[in-house]
Amino acid sequence: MASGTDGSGQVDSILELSKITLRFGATTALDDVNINIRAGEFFTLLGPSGCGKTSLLRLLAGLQIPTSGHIRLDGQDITGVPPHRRPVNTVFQSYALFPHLTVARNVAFGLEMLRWQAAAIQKRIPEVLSLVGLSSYGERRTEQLSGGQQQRVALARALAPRPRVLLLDEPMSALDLKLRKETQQELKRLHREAGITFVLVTHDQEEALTLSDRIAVMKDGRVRQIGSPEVIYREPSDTFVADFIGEANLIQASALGRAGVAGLVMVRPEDIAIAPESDAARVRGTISDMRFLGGTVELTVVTDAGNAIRTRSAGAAAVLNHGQAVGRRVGLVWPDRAERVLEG
Amino acid sequence: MHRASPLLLTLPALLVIGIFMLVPLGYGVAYSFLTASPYGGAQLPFTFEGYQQVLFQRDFDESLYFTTTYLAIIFRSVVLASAAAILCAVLGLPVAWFIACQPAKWRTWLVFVVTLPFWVNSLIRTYCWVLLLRDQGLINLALQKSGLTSGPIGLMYNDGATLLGLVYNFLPFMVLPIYAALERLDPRLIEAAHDLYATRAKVFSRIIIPLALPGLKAGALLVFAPALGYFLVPDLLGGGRNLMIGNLIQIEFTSGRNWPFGAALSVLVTGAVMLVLMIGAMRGKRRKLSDIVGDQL
Ligand SMILES: Nc1ncnc2c1ncn2[C@@H]1O[C@H](COP(=O)(O)OP(=O)(O)OP(=O)(O)O)[C@@H](O)[C@H]1O
Ligand SMILES: [Mg+2]
Repeated sequence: MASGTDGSGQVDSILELSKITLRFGATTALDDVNINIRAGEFFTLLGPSGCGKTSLLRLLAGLQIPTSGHIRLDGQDITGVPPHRRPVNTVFQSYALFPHLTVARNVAFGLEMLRWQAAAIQKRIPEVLSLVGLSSYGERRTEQLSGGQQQRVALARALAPRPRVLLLDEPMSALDLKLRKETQQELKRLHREAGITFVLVTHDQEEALTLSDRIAVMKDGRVRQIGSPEVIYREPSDTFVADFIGEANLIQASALGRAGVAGLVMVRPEDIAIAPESDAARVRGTISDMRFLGGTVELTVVTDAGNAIRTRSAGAAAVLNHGQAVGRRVGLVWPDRAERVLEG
Repeated sequence: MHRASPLLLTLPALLVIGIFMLVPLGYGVAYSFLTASPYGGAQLPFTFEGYQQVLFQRDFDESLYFTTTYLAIIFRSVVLASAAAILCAVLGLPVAWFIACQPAKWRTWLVFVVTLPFWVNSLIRTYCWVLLLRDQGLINLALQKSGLTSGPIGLMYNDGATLLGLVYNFLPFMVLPIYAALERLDPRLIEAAHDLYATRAKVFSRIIIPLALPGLKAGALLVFAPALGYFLVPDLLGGGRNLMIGNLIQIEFTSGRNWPFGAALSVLVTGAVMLVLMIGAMRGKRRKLSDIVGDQL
């Protein structure tokens, strides 16, 4: 798959970003970004810190204007349209709840600005509050709420005006691990129930894999690959994506004795099985480390060519006797379909 | 280590407050209940004469009659001080907003610039206004030279000039607390409001003003309280004809030689300001209390 395109064609695109570039002085925050986001999908922008995720989201919200390129919403060019005239709402990383307003007034804010009828607003507030499980919190002041509750108020506030697209900038980053897992499920449910297109920003690959219909992997202001979690995981387009999503063994093709193949062969640890040191083995080596991870066992095998390859399997413990594992010589096998040749 | 008792530690603060605030205030209150002595100062016995004179004057035959002379001055003072507070708010908010919007390294300097007038004696600064506003002053000269007016227009010796002087003198007291409130305002709130369909005007009225309100309130008090008792500006710019309470008090302590009356007026001014402060504080408390109650539910 070519980088920068998603191969989805034009079908049902709600948001189209074409040739987006954003510069801050000498810094290029976004460089020729092309993305089509489909109506109703859960789309995730994934990448390491500083790769331009927030900048991209701010362009979609209208809080920033691209240096060049176009953004279309429902086929209409909205590149320079100010935020208050876009049917797009944001859940900010810091939540940005209005401290002088109660939870209910926060939720009502967007509706009041849109000049909804008072009766319609009064009906909508409890609706969205119950959607995020905060029905009895309407009259609270926002600073009395826990981080998780504030995050849900931010969600309710952004969902209340029924935007075409909901933007979420690392909404879970301030939550502890347990709460984050719960909130991820919550978010998935909200996406289903609200029927709105979600665009999520995260640097947590696990979060991206669990939640998304499709993911755009970004690095240094460029989109490296767009695809479903399975495609991104199974068929990464380059070594960066392979390495950033999950764990990957990247082995020189030459080390595997592949004549005429240049580049690196990627195999996921869980696809590699331990076998006797026979001719059937793809590589042979010595177990240098063993880690017991509960359900699975992780082995590091140093091959005769000097590569360290990690394997992970549930069966490994049965194959090998615990104490004697390290130092033993083994062979490694994996099916053809598990490997992928990437350009170095 | 030996721990000093809390009382000992707070003693310096208590002494400062006591010596510099309570003692003069106590003197003022005491004087207001004394009898005026003919050559200034006050003497026994204790009376309510000082307070009585605010509303009643003694006729030649020693009978009391109701007079609005002083009430009118008090009323004018309250109106002028309120107007000054409102004008300062209208002018101070944009200034404070402008400063708060600048990069951090500039802000310190701009705040310094705002406080710059404090470095010059207020008597001198007010005289500068006299030089500007008087009939032979710079403004009138410029107006006549440019042919906009044929003769001098009376810019001084009216309530407008007094108001101008008050606003000029106390504007920093408004700018600084508003700035302090705005500086704490998270700019992301403004973005969030825009994102939620608020126009610039709505962001201003629904986010910036409410969040600047504590600063506005503090500023209003800081302007109103000293403006109410100010005598320099009405004296020099108002021309001593349009008196404010401050002038009245000054006169009673000097040429009027009626210290108890002057002291009584001072006590009334102080009392009025304290009343406003206490009402403000009590309303603040009540909200806090309801918050706590809300938490229990
Ligand atoms: N207002 C700005 N002025 C100058 N440079 C900026 C500005 N905003 C972002 N940048 C730069 O643009 C690049 C992308 O920033 P951005 O905030 O989009 O990254 P991010 O992917 O959201 O990172 P993180 O995961 O840390 O939030 C960074 O190099 C950043 O320094
Ligand atoms: Mg970011």
